Amino acid sequence: MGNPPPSGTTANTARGVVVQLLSPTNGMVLKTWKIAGKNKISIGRETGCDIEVLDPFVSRKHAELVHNDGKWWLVSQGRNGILVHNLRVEEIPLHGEVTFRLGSAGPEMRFLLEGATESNMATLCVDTAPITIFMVDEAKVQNEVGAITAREEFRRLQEHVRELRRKRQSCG
Amino acid sequence: MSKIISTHSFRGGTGKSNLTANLAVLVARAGYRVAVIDTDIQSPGIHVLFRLDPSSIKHSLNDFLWGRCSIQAASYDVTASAIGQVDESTDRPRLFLIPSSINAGELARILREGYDVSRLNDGLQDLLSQLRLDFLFIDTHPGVNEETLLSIAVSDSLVLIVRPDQQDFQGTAVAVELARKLEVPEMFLVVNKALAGTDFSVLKDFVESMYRVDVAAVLPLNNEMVEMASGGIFSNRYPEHPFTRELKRVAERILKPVPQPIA
Ligand SMILES: Nc1ncnc2c1ncn2[C@@H]1O[C@H](COP(=O)(O)OP(=O)(O)O)[C@@H](O)[C@H]1O
Ligand SMILES: [Mg+2]
Repeated sequence: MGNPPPSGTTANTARGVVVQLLSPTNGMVLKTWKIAGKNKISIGRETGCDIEVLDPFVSRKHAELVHNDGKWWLVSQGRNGILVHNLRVEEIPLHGEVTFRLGSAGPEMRFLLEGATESNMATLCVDTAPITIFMVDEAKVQNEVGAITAREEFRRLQEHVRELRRKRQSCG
Repeated sequence: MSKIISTHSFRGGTGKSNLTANLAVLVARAGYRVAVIDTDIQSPGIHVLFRLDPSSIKHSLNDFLWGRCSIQAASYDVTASAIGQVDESTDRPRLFLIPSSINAGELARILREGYDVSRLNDGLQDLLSQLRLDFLFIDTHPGVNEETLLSIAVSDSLVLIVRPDQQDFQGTAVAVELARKLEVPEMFLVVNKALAGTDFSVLKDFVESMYRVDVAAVLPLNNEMVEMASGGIFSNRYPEHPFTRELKRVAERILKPVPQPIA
């Protein structure tokens, strides 16, 4: 009848975990965190959280993953709560893959145990940087700008504007 | 001295009207007389956000510019619905909405008939002085057309709203170049509808280096805003929301005087 070990202690060394942030529109993985060698992992909006999620619906300290009694637990911390299958939970043991939402309006995340997932990770993991895929085609920009600025109206406008700004400056 | 600010985006749906309305409210609340010219009446425009009944709109900016009505007839005091009760014995804050029906066709005519930018400018200067405005926002049509160019031309400040999206990025680059050629004294970008999970500071640096224009804020896609569905002013309903805090930073930026070129 031994009490479970106090939270965050290493009964046996915690297995690494994988946490993914899912896209609200298509469920794609937007960001992946792989964390090993820790028994307590913080999730929140605050800088310094192990899993930092910049979303207005995420509390500064929203939740914690705690390794306790040989398994991982998801523990709610902020006021916004955690939802699993649309049900609000305070804490829940994580035996394998679990999808949860940070607050009723917040982002959806997925918890996985490291190793168990390595095989499908390769196809799932897109990792953060969707940013760099937006590129500006400079030649196209110059073309479009050129077509507009070559027009007589634009040149007139340019002249007028220059004059206008001079006038406004001298009386302002 | 008063300041004219144009808000612009390459496409519709970027949040331009919502952001403009919120910024106008936040600036007015700081103790100023503010007006918004709504040129985007077709799509749910700013009048919806301010709960102005379209059937009560009898005159527009055009009527004033053409001398067909007084500015009082073309401007609607929305202070009560946008800000609430104000001290009647002082004249600040105040917020006005000026509907405009300047459309591409009419503009083409204006340009053809020699209604040049100076006259539009004079009209707007009259508006500024008659309503004793401190700030005038122009919610422009999406895309680059004559109206956008005229708006940019008469503005002291241009706020470009861009979503993290390929088409927006490409189209905004054109607007940035044209604004440079029109020598608009101040220009900055607001990234709206950024997805959670994007690293906002990385996105900001990326956008700034791409356009060589400051990013005043990266605003997240926000579920409460989606739910409001343009049913009101977000910063009024959620004054403490992190999203509102970010908007306030943009408003503070607008409150600063226009940088003057060194003559
Ligand atoms: N940051 C945001 N998060 C969520 N929804 C937004 C955000 N900004 C704008 N919206 C929503 O997007 C829609 C289009 O906004 P609107 O201001 O009308 O855009 P525009 O004037 O550029 O066409 C509206 O329903 C609005 O509530
Ligand atoms: Mg609009």
